[in-house]
Amino acid sequence: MLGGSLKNNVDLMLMGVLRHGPAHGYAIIAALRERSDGEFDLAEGTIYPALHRLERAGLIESSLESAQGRRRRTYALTARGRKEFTSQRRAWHSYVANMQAVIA
Amino acid sequence: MSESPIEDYLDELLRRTRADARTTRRLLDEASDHLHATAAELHSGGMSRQEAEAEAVRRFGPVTPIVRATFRRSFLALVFETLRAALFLAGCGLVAVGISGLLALVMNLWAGRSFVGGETVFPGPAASVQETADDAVVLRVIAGLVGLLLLLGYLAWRRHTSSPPLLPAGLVDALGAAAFAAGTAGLAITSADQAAQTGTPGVGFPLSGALVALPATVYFCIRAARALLPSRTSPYQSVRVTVTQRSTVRDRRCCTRLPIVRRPPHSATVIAESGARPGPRRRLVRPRYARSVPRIRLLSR
Repeated sequence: MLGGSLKNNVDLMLMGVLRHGPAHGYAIIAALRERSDGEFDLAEGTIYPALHRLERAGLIESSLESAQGRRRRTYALTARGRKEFTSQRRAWHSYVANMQAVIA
Repeated sequence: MSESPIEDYLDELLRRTRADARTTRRLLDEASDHLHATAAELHSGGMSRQEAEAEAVRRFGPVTPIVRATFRRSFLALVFETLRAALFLAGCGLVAVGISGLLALVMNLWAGRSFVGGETVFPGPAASVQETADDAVVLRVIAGLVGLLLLLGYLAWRRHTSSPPLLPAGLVDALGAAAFAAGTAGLAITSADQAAQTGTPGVGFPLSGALVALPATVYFCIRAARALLPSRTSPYQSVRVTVTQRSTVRDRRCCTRLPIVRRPPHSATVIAESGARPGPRRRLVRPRYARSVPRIRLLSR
């Protein structure tokens, strides 16, 4: 999983965004773009199947909320998701440190 | 350029998505919301409405990867549901064989063993007749017990599944009806042929099967008709149900308080107390009708 393409790390990135609080799909994409300084410019539609997959795995949960006359599905990290995120982030940091040590 | 690129995109997404109804509906809902939000933002930034929609669609990305990502899960769900349906049909078939064994036992006692075991390949007429007549009972009853185990497995599996059905309504029942109808016809013809060739000896062997296959055919026909023919009542009639369990409506005790769906398909409306959440459908409604309930909505908290 680690070190793969951007696509392979979508789950970790989505959990990373949701760690700061619940958000709907549009806001998640905006946050991804903003925090990566526009580097991670995913095809926006691809995050929805990923969000659904994470929800089925019990790592995030969703609820419908009304805002400005529209009903939007908002996603939030579950306790299990938080744990999983911490574990995956640790693994990622370790991978990056090892890689830097090799190529430095 | 199309008049509404977003509408065109959503049409294509709907056409190409091969997922269950809930996944498809949810995906379209979210895609529509996302695309319109993007288009509105771009439009307010100075783009024409049409250009903004086209740009929103471009950013959303091609339909194919989205459809593929959705299909992987749905295909697996379809495989599981097909296996579950096969388990159900195999269980029903074996139970029918078991019942025919009991019927053969009654025939043995009532009409003598030659009625069931009249024709055999074993040497020695008396021994062979007895052997065939006994086997018709014992082996079939064993098959029936295996069928019961399969049905129990099927029920347990279904109980722990909350995903919406993927197979078309009535398909499994129609398959069951067709299989039992073929069995009834084949066994009835064999019985008639046997009667024409040897008289009564040996007729009970296929006849016991035909007599069980016939009511099974009728049962599956009724089930298929209920699922396939339109109900006289409105298909989306809401039934108000009060769930009194305070913390969760997943509690199985709620089932006793749900005198709800009489005939499919209905939607059920759950009025839950504070803090309650809509749980898996099968835990809420009687399993027999669970497949027919499109959704349960939480009306008030």
